[in-house]
Amino acid sequence: MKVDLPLHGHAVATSATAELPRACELPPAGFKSRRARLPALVRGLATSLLGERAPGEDTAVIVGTALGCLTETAAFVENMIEGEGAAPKPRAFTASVHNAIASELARQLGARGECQTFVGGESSLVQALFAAWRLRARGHAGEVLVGAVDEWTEHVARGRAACDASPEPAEGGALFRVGPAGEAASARLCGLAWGRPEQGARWLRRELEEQGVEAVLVSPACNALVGEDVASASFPAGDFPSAAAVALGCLVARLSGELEARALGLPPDARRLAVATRTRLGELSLIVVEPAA
Amino acid sequence: MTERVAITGLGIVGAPGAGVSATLDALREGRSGLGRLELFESKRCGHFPVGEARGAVLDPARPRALALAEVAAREAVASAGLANRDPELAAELGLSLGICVGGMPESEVAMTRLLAGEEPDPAVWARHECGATTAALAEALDLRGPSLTLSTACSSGAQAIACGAELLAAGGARAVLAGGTDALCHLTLNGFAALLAMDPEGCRPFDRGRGGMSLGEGAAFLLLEREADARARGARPRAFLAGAGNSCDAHHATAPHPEGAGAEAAMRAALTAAGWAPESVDYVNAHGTGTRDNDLAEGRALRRLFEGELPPVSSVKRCFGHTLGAAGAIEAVVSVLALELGFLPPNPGCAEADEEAGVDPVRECRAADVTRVLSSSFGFGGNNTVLCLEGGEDA
Repeated sequence: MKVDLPLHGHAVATSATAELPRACELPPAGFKSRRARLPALVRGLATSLLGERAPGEDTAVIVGTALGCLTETAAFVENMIEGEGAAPKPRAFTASVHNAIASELARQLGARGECQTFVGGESSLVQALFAAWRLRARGHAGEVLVGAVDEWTEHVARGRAACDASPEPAEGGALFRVGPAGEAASARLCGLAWGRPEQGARWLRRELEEQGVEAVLVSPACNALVGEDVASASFPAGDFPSAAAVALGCLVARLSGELEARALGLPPDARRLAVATRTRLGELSLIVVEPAA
Repeated sequence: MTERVAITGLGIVGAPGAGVSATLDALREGRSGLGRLELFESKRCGHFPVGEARGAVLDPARPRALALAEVAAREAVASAGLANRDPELAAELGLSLGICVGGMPESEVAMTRLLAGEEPDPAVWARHECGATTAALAEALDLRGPSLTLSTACSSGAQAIACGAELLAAGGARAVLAGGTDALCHLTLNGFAALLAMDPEGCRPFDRGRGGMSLGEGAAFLLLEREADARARGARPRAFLAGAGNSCDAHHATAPHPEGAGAEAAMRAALTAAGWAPESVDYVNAHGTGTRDNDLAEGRALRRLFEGELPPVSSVKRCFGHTLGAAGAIEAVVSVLALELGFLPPNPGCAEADEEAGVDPVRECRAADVTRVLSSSFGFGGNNTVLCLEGGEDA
């Protein structure tokens, strides 16, 4: 579908080795704080975007995450299974709820606008961006913080090792800021598509053509589906559920001149760029960006 | 919302039984769906009554939340007259699912094995995440359009319905199956018990002696279509989704804003989206969990919104238990039935209304002319969603 969502800023965080502009540090594994690790990461991304400025009370927060705060979920379950008779500690339970990431950020920022959490695996970002666009389309005038994050834990490692041939230890995500009307944007989101098409390659090529995409960053599972008509390169940050958010951050950086195209393996003159993902659950998605007008 | 969204199909499963008919019987009798936990053994939490979906025939090979979802989703699709649809329509059918625990019941078994030094079945890991339930449900029902998976705690089901309507408004799908599902599991039972949020006598929303919530499990779906599309295929709109409102308390990880500020903001946003004045609301289907914090905050929000003159209000949580990700969808189905059949759903468990909460709920099911309903759902993290539901013209 054709969409129109200006992006006024972005911040990425990834454990991958690629050097990316505006990259935030990931809280280390085993991070101990009152805050859980992913909320701390998202807070770091938001600080990178907003500085110390408090956003408006009507600011919306929309986050995608495949697995949520898995460290805390696993800690609670372990505590529950192994805690002989004693009640497990409630703090990890409250952090285990998927929307803890978005709602904790909203609480810290005093953001009382819409707050949503999408948990559609590798499609979580495209779903979150859809919600941000619809919010704008309904006339929301305030800021929107939208993105996706996921973490790598021992449980993910074991789970993915059991399911996939080659698990790759990577984690992180990105947050994008949609500013108030009138502010100069760094890029514009212009197309979104996702679904479970019967013929994946055909669907993807048709969408790439219809949306006029000149170059695309593809997730490893999606690689074989892109034809030779469109220039493509692999995700710069490895393969993890919110890697699409890092890839989109790189494209926005490319469009605003902060990152050279060749660093991403894309042709230097391509202007309409896309992120294509195939989820482990069989869904395809496409996110298209272009320079802001 | 630019165009009214027609609701042409309903499906539901929960403690009262499987299907709209069993649910209606339970509502009319004001029957509590709470009972002893039989699904699994829990040394710490087995004494808390729960709303188990015992009356449903579930596929034992499926994760429980998916199996529940499939029962309700198939009923909704069939009741909309889309069970034997043109295969080409599949590409235009979307899915919007609210869910909290996903494959957690199965993951708990896997984690137990992992801690015992065994390697669990890889299939369990693949099913753990919430999105896996959506993908499997879409495959089972051959829904090949875009899907959304929302997890905003106890408002997930209502938020999934609101987002399903957005998919329609954006032209992303011709019809959207929207709702929620969740199954009972150790994580939620132990979690809410650790928060001291559960009532050993079973939840009693708005009652003076209430002592907390009761967990349940279930699923419910609405089949949403643009009104013109529904009428063009000869489908009868059973009701309409007139608007939805969302807000965040930005207050606390679990407790609602004590004055119900976020709840009120979501109610007002929903009314604005629907173009309704508060006094036009005939019935409020309350979130009404039975916790002191919720009932007081919700009561305060309602009293401000309606300036002290509340329309009939009830919570059906004692009929179903609190079904978390499914609750908003279950309550939307109950609200549509109230609109369609003209009755006020009861609030079992309330013997003496708590004056401090300021809500004197409907005690017994009774006939009433209901044309506009406000259905509220509030979740952890202060994630609030309110739906405005309106009767079909020929209902």
